[in-house]
Amino acid sequence: MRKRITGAVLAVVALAAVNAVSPSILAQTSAQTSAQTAARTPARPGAAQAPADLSGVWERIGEIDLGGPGLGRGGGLGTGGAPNFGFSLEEPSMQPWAQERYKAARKGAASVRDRGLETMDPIMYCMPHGMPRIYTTPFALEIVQAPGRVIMMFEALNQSRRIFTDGRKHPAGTPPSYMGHSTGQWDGDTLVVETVGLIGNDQTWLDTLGHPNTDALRIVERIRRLSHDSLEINFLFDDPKAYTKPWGGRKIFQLKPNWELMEYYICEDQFRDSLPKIRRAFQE
Amino acid sequence: MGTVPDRTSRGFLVLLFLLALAVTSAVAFWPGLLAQTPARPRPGAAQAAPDLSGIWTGNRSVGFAPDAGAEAAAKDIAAGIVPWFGFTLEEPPMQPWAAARYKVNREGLEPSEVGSNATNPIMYPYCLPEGMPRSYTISAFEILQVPGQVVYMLFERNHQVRRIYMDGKKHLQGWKPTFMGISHGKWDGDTLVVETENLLSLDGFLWIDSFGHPFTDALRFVERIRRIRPDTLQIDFTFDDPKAYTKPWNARKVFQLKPNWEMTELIVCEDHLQERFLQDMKSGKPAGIP
Repeated sequence: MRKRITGAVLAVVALAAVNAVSPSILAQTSAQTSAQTAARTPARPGAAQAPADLSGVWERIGEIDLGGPGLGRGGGLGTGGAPNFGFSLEEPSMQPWAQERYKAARKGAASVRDRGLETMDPIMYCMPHGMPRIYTTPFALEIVQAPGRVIMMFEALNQSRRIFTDGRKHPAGTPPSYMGHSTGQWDGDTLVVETVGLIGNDQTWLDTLGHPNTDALRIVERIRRLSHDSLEINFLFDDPKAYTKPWGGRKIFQLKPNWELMEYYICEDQFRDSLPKIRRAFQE
Repeated sequence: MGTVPDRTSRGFLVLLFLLALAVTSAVAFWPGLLAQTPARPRPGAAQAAPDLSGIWTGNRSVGFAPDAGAEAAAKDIAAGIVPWFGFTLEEPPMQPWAAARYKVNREGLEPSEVGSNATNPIMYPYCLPEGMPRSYTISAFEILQVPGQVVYMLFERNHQVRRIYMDGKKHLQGWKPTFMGISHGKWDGDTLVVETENLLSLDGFLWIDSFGHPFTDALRFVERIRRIRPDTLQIDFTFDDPKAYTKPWNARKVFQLKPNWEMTELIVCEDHLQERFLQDMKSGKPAGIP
């Protein structure tokens, strides 16, 4: 717990520091950082043979709202320019039915700092967040790289996800799933990941703001280490059934070399609450 | 090329002989190595950890239908083999309260069937993750060994992650109990020895296996994990939970390598939860799970 609190405090301090500088300086700094990174990184002619190292425990950075009426714990704005609960400040262009769903899910929400309506939220029914929503929880993730695949492990629900980098294709005819099927390839120091085969269709939200998605959703992630301790993911969401055109977002994560991921479950408390009833069933 | 080696070659052969003698003596007189499987003698055990990686399953039945499972389990039990969903055929010595719970969990069931749906914590509406050690009795898993100080076990059910810390330090001390607990490991020759503690038992209502044996937060267990053949993983368990059992008990499970499997997704209660959710959404009166 102490580590997490320290992390939160650090993040807030970091944000204050970031807020103090102008956007142009910010842009310069990040450009400079990438240039420095590029200079430090030896040219990799055999990028496919020697992939970049993305491994580590990563925590999203930016403001962290500690909750409050209508807010939902873990809101605020991320350093990557996206709300913590979503991927973009800019509203994507939705199909009419999707717009309607989104409007219902935003009832009572004042801004992008607020999460979607809890009573309509699939995770309140103990379902997993799935992809890509799992990136919009306040919990950290860990990346490890093995031959032929990159594994992402999320503190939220203690779940994992495989990105196959061995050249295989998405399998045909597999039932849709919460994590979908992900393949990746290296583009220089960037891991480009394509994910398809997601459940969608009213059973998941695309983000914690409450944007809908369908099983037609195709996600492209460009994952890159901006510096040793900073990870950037650029997202592209292509779901013609729910959106009139592809849209995207960007998230920035900070390396937490001394963090250990813990477990977080949504519905653990529900069982605890049921214990008296269960005891009666056992005639105890 | 003559039949009699010249002086240089003879010298070389003598050197080779001495070298071979040195190596074989080292192997023969090094007790650590003798204790290992003969499959792969590894003089540099500490430097090169044995490879346990791969996708492993303890499911001996074909297919995943519950009936297929029960059939295979019945066959296993008849042959004296521990079925996939259990750790032991010999009844572990339970404390009275644990025996009473176990009786309820098995009411009206054949030995080849998993514990009662009514009290099974992974069933609807509870839908809790299996956690450790029960995951071994219900899910395929992948062992991932990557450079670093952690061995990862990725279970197919719920995409669950288990970390075994290998750096010799104590991790996550003083943390609240979790479904996976906290695991520390070390290599003993070709065997990964893992100690797990700090397990969540929810007042002893979670199950240690899929038969329905209870356990408490006092449970600590030791695993000795070894690849006895290239395609076979053997785990010897010692379970020590004095609150639920009158003495520690042992178990052995064997898992088969599935080199061509790709892990799919299996979320507990998925269908029930989706149905319930969609029903509520369509009714216009969403309320969440009761």
